[in-house]
Amino acid sequence: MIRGLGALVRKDLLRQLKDAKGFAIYMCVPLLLTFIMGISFGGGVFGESGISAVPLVICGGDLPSVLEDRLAQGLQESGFFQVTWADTAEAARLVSRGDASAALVLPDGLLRDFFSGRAVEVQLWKDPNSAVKAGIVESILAGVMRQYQAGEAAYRALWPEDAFPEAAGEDDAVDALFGGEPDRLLRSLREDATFGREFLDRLERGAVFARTLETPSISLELHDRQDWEAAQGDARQSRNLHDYFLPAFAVFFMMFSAAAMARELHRERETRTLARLLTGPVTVGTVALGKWLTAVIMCSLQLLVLLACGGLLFQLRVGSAPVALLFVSVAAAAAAASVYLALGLVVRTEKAMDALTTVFTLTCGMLGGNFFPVEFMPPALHYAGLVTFNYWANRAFSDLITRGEGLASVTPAIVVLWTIAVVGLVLAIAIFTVRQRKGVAA
Amino acid sequence: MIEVHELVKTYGAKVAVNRLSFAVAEGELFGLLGPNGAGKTTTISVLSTLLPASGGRAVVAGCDVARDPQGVRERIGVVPQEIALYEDLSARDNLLFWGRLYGLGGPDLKRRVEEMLEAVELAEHARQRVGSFSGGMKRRLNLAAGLMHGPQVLFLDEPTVGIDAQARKKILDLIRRLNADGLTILYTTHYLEEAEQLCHRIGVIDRGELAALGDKEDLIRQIGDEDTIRFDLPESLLPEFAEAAARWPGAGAVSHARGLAQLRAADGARILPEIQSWLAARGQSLAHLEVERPNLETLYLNLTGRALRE
Ligand SMILES: Nc1ncnc2c1ncn2[C@@H]1O[C@H](COP(=O)(O)OP(=O)(O)OP(=O)(O)O)[C@@H](O)[C@H]1O
Ligand SMILES: [Mg+2]
Repeated sequence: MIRGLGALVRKDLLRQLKDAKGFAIYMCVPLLLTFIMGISFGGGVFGESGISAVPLVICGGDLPSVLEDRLAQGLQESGFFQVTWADTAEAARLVSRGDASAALVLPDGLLRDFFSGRAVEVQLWKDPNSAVKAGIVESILAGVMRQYQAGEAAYRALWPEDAFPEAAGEDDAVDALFGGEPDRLLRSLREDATFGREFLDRLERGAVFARTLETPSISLELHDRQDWEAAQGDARQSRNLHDYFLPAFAVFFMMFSAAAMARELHRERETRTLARLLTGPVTVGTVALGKWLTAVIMCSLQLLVLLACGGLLFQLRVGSAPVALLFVSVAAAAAAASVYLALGLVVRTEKAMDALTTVFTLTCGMLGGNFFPVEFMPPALHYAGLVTFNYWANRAFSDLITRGEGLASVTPAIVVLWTIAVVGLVLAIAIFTVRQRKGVAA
Repeated sequence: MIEVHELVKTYGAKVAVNRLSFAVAEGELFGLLGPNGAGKTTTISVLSTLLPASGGRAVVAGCDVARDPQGVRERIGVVPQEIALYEDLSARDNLLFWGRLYGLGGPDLKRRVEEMLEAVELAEHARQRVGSFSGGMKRRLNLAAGLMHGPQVLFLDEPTVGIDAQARKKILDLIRRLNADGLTILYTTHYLEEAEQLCHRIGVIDRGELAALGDKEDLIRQIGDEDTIRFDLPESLLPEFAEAAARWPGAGAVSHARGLAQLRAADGARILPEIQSWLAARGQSLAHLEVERPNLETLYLNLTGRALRE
């Protein structure tokens, strides 16, 4: 055991515990931020209400009531929407008052126009103040549209000769069918054998097409959280934003804690205790190591407690690989402790250190994906993120928590974090030793 | 126990300690006396291995400060000029820490902590946060922290600055006791009377240089055994007076300050009648007469040319 190290760490831990207020802030703020994210986007104890209950109003035009019911049922069952029906005036009022996030406006004669080949325009009115929810409706609707358009394109490719009539009103039979004149259709079928054959032919193909649409080979499936968890095993995607935000915030605030603890070295210089320590039997290396160990212990604790709170409050799946979670937390804390210790020793005063570490933490937080996933950034910055230590911590946590992976898949990240930790610590001790030789360590 | 040879310490162009040499024997209580900025703290910093020397050599408790700093650190205790304690911890936790740092532990450590708390009369405040202590209490704890591990040599850097007379007496008594138990002490101060009362020998330091060295009698002998006589004299008469005084047996240097003539003389009493008759011949009378026996104060003033703060 390195002489005096135990005494130093014990003293620093005791001091940290006496400063419970500071620690509590670093613990509470990430939870609070995650909570805010939670009520903004939903999930966890806030129920599935956030995303899944987008208030949507539909103006049905003259859709037959059977279809109306089917549509409403389908939308409700998806779990994403709370559907109401209204006429266009009422829909406009609901959306402009913010009582509905969006209105889906189906034109009169929709079905008839569709089957007779006329262009159909479905409108979506969005509440600009509810961009996220309205955006969800829009993207789902766009998906559905694409699906139908693909289906139609496929139909035309298969049966080009069977293109729907180009001009409106030319096909009397279709007009008759949907225009409430079934007699005229029946008369045509009876009197014109060619028309009858063609019409039956078309009906048959139409039925094939309809079946294809009913059981599409490619489909957009929307799952809510329960489905996803039930199907977990091989499921790889979660819609729960806490899975991303809580570990990201935990790492970010752990970085602040590590900076605060490295700052203690400057505090000890200012209170002259550092000078006193250095006239004692300990080397600067031991003093630095003591600060490092204290920071590793406190920062690991902070991460673990935060993640455990996340598990309790936001149903974060933290329990699937507890050993891996512990290893990642300690490795992340070790890397942070080293980086900030070295950073603190580069500058001479606490003020300078504050400025430097704030800029550093914000930059690394941004690049490393603590504010939003790095995939959202342009590729060049994405690669810049790879050199930040917090990127590796975030990545390992998201592998464990979001993707439900185990120790094996986070081992590379743990190795990277420990490499940063060792290099940073050696650098810090080297700088400190040089300082002491020059007589400016304390 | 402490040997200092031609020690030099510079901060850039500033020479803080210039070719300082002195030695402190085992069991001695040595005073380093000097005004602000004289280089006392710098000297202690070099001797306690906190600062590397720019020149010269120093050996403390048998270890060379440059070659074996670790050996020095094991054997010394340092009580810094500024309070160096953890204010967020209690008095006891502070002492426990400094004890553990030197490898103390178990019942020995506990006993030592209680002993030191008693010695500095802080036992009742052991559990109190140091941040809530008065200046005097902090000073005493600061001293106790430097004693926890029972050092062979103790460096005390102005341990009584800024505290009241009662607290000061307590600290000085403790220092005397420690020294009586055989502890070698280097004590710096800018209080002349402290050095005079407390120390066996005194080194007077000014602008980084040793101006005088020895026990009280040695130092007084250094300024000669001359009395100083002061009396009213218009400045215009000074040259004539100096001329006359030069012929008187035993008379020394003549100077003038704030309307007073000053004459150094081997025996003040014998020369007074001469002065009186010289003044009478010029229609003056002897007024505001002061005769001063030689003391450390005059020595100190002569050496450092500066009045003390207090
Ligand atoms: N780190 C430093 N850099 C530059 N100059 C310094 C430094 N430390 C001290 N000095 C200068 O060296 C000289 C000696 O300072 P030192 O602190 O040793 O004096 P001191 O005798 O302890 O004074 P005091 O009674 O005020 O404590 C002073 O002129 C001071 O300004
Ligand atoms: Mg000083």
